[in-house]
Amino acid sequence: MPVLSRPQVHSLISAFFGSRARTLSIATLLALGLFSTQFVTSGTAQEKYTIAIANLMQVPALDDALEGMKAELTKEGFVEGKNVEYIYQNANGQIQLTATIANDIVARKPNVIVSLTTPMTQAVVKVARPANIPVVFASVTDPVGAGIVRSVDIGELNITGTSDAWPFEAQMKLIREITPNVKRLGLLFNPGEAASQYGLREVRKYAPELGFTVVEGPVSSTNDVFPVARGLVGRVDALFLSSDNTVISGMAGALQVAIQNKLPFYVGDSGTVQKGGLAAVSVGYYGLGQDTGRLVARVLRGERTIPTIVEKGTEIYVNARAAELMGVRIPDAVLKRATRVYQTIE
Amino acid sequence: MTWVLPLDIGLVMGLILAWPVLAFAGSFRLLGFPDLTLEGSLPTGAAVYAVAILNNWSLPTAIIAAMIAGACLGALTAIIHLQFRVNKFLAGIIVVAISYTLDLRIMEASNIGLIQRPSVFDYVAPLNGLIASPFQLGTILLLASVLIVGAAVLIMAINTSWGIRLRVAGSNPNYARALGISVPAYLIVGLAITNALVAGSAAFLAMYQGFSDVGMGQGILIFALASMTIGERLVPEQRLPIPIFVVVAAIVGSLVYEILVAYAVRLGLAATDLKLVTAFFVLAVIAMRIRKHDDEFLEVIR
Repeated sequence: MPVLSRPQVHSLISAFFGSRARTLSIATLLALGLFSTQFVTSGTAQEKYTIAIANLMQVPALDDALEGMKAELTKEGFVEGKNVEYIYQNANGQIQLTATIANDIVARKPNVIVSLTTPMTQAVVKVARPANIPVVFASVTDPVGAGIVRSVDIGELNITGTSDAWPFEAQMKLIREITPNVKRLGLLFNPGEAASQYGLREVRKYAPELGFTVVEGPVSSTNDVFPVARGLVGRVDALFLSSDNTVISGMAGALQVAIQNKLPFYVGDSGTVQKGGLAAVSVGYYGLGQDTGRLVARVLRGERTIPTIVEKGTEIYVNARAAELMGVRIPDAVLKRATRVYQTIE
Repeated sequence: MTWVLPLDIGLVMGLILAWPVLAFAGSFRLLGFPDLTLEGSLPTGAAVYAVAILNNWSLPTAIIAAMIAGACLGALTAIIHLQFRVNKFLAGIIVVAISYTLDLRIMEASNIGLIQRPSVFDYVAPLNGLIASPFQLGTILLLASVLIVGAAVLIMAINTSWGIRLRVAGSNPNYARALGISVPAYLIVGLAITNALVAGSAAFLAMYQGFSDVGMGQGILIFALASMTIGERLVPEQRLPIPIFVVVAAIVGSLVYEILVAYAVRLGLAATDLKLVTAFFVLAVIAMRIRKHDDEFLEVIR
């Protein structure tokens, strides 16, 4: 039995939208809503800045970066609610929405646009460049390869940002140091993500000289992480992941496999270590955010041609609880150098 | 004036994405083939276009190359369905899976940036500031004229004797066979055409947003189905011949859907609620315009 009969549904909707010309009334409603929001947003003071943020999807690393950016901007005298207004748009992982969001943001004429991730930055730059609005990107792994800037060393008019190329060499040296017996390294990655391509290239480059054989575990969605990691058991001595958002979002699946099978599971950013990854040499997304914030501040003060900052990433993060569960003893030398040792799995 | 801006963005996206909707509605309504291939032919079209542009091909050749790639995928779906007696949905899903690997191989990366590359929109850029400053008049006029000309050609093609045979082959294969029409040949050509259109629009999409990405096709199927449904509910069915109705409904549906999304984004709904709002909107349109003979719709799906 349906809860409502068809006429009942009709009358409900009629009550909501009016009986005649319902489509028109939706348009009116929308228009009314728009006018009212307009009144709220207009009436800005003279010394007020608008910073628009365009994000592709919400993941801990990117949230950390945004937090770092806002904190740094506050320190620089650009305080939210006082002289800065933030506009935040998130595409929820839908790439088709990037152009819509980019257009929407540019049309609001902010003083600067902060864009996160590669596709979002590409879409934003495409629209913002002709409109002469400066763009500061954050967390783009390979800005030159993505066609965003011509070079990271030479400043480009109206476009700058921070690149989060992971320090794979340092990371793999850390794996060697903590678990010297690891020979076969299982690499989880999503071949469909731009950032991952870079990671794969780097891992393959450094593996031979550090004595690793790479066993590839390609995943196409977060749901794949668990079965693919499970399939690597017995064929690898440790799990590792590339710098892509798919595997990072689905890391819990890999963690479960790692704990059940006493496999060390290495990751690449502080946020994932906190969630149970064994250890990482991380860019530190909060720090990346702070650097981004500094760039935004410089742009707001009128600079237009600033070179891209490539984050070096030297901070070591360790999760002691994860080490215990995975049956790994972390050498004291590593613990001493670590920026932070997490005692629990969040 | 700012409140009309989402209209502008919605129009641009709606005019580009009207093609996948048109292709889906055409294959579904006229050929009786619920074709899932578009989720693959869209990113493949964009991938081929991007690689062609990187290799300094001219814009028209790059777009044609993309359309040929799309046509191949559509034909492949039809062949898999006919040759191996695979269910229509499954045949599409198989081709979508094939196309994913194909895209990664073609692009040798998951994403190619096209920001610094030429696009057809460069030629109409001077028109863009003509009305209100950010209103992309040139882009809209260009896309609209491409769509109107394309749709007119399509409608004319459907009404030729060849087009009528195509429709018979799709909607009533047994009758078509009795008339001596080669059903497999028409189905292959039909899906090749619809997917070529999808891939062609993918080239425009890649041009417009400044990149090609393997993830571009995600959700396009749901978008096409939703837009088709909205369009079919909004356009008066009785007053138009079926082929024109299908084409017009697809275009109207796509425009309405994208304009709604643009307004929703403007209202700040993007973060998490957008999907729910669009789902509610689709449902609302359907509920508002329930028609008497809707049971036929279920017949087609079954």
